[in-house]
Amino acid sequence: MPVIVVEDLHKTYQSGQVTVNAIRGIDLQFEKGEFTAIVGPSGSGKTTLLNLLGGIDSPTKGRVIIENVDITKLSDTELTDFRLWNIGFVFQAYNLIPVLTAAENIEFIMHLQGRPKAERKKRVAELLEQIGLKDKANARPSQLSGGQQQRVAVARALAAKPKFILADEPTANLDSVNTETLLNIMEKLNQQEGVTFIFSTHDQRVIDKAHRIVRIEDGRIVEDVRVK
Amino acid sequence: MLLSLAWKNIWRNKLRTLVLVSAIAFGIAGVIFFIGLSQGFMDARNKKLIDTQLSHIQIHNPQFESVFSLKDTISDIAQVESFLSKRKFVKGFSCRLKTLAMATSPYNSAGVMVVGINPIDEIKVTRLYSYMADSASKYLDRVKRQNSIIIGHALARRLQLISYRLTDRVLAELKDLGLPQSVVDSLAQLKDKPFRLSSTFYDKLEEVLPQDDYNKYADAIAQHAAHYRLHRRIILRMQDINGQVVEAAFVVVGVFYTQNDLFDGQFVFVKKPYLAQLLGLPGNTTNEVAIRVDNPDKVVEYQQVLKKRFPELSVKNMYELDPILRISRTLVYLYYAIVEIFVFLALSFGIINIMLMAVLERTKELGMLKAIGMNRRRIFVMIFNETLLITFLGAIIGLFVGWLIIVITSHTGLDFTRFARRGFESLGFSAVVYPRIPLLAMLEVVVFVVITAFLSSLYPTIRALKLKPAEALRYEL
Repeated sequence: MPVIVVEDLHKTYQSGQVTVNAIRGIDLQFEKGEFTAIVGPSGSGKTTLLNLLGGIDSPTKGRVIIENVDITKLSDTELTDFRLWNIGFVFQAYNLIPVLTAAENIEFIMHLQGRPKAERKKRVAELLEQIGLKDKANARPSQLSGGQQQRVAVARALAAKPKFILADEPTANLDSVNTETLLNIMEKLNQQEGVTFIFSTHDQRVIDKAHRIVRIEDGRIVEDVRVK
Repeated sequence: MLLSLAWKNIWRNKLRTLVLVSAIAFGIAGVIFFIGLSQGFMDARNKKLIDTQLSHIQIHNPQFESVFSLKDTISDIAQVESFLSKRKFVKGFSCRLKTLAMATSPYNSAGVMVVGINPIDEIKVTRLYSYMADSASKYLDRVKRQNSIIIGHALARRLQLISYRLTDRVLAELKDLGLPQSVVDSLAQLKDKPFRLSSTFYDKLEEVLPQDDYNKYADAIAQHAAHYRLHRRIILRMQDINGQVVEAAFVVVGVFYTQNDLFDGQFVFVKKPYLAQLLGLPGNTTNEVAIRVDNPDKVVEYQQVLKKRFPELSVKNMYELDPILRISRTLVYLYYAIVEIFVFLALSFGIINIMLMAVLERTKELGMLKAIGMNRRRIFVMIFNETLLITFLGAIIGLFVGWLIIVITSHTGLDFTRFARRGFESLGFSAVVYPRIPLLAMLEVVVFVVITAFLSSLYPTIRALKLKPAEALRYEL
């Protein structure tokens, strides 16, 4: 049974005087445990598609159904709550709260979920270990490299135990070594925790790691292949 | 969690937070100081008013207050006296006989309120005896002569019973007071010349002194050079009980100086039996009983006791007797509130401006927080807490600093003599002020701080709530 079902998705928005048809009719399904790359040139609609999948933007037409819930029908508050429990996010930048330490950033989302303190502490230690930043637990984001910050963001997304994680060009600002490290961690977590990863990218090194590649151009799917 | 996050957030930009906190602290300290100063002015005025004439409770014939006729006396004064002398809360009472008169000296005349008193009783109620202007002046209890009168400084000036003379002693006093040698030297040419009019004396001072020195020192020089022409006679012309005009000569045995020109210029005090006799009335005739009580805070309660016993008489407490005293007890809080509204309105614009900036520059971060699942209520609480924390931090500092200033100045006093002594005194205020902040006024400030904090938190918070996560993440500053 698919985790996410996208039906006839359209998104049009105004950018100044210009009407942009960012998504023009997309139908897609994602299974549990996928490691999927959404690829395409700049302006092809990758970010818009991820935003629609994550419920942080609403479609002009069509539906996004996550485990039988049509999230396009939820109110703002219901949607926020839905995201908290079901969807993890990793953005290009501005992922972390600058005044909190790495550990606090990871813990923050579990705080929002109201998980008990003992569970939070255990999970934070476990995740810091997995992303290889145990020694940076008390470092503020400003004291971490870009790659380390993205690893913390992945850990934060995982901490909430979501159904899937959406990562919008997570390696866009990283060099090749950090890109490699981050992808290895994501892949490992995908296998260990069985969590679904959907990430957008136009970086060939990232595409090479993906198990499934969905290529979009001008808001339409032009290719959808399973490679592993 | 949200509170500690808010606390961390406000210290992201230390300078900005400190500037805002100090602005709030300054504003609040300023308001408190202003209230303390106003209260200090009024306290001094009220105390002096009660001490010199008003007392705590007054009893009249109800007719007397509207018609002010000699016929409207307290008819059964003996009963009142015996009742009052048995009451524990009565520290002293004075039976007065008041009438209007025209006072005339060889040089000028003025309308006055003549108050006939038994000095021994009056001393237990008012402390005018402690306001005698110089050592030669005597209060009525220290003179035997029936037709003695004491008058105020302002009336003495009007009736030209003051002469100004710069004797060696006066010049030495002025030097001790810290007047520059050059000024004292210039004054030497006026030595021992008598001036009967203050205007001619001032004119002469202006002639011999440079303009700057004149402006600075003329009042002090005049005050020291003034010699009251005691034991002169003044004539009081008034109507007796039958409406006939009677005239009598009185000898000025003392001059009082309460620094309240209205009182000093209008009230004269004489011995009651003699006044009654002049007016064709029995010696114990009374149209006003002034009462000092043990605890002024219970004045309303005591007033009720007297009202119950003497329902046919008008019994009024000090707040009913003096409009400014009444205002200083109730209306003054409204006046403070108006000042506070303006100050806090200005402050709230500052707070809104800065907090809005703090929200807008974090647009992307707030978008991220909303995306990962921080709901509207939590974002609201976080931003709201940030504004509240800053405002309350500033408020606590401001309240403390303001309170500290009041505590210090209430001991040392603030001397405005240099700026405008005459201005203050002609209005009945003293030029040396001891600020005080009433608890109620302090609470009022706290209430306004809380309202300001909440109101100015609202707008930035609402702006933060309106952010759509996808748009906020795209947002570029």
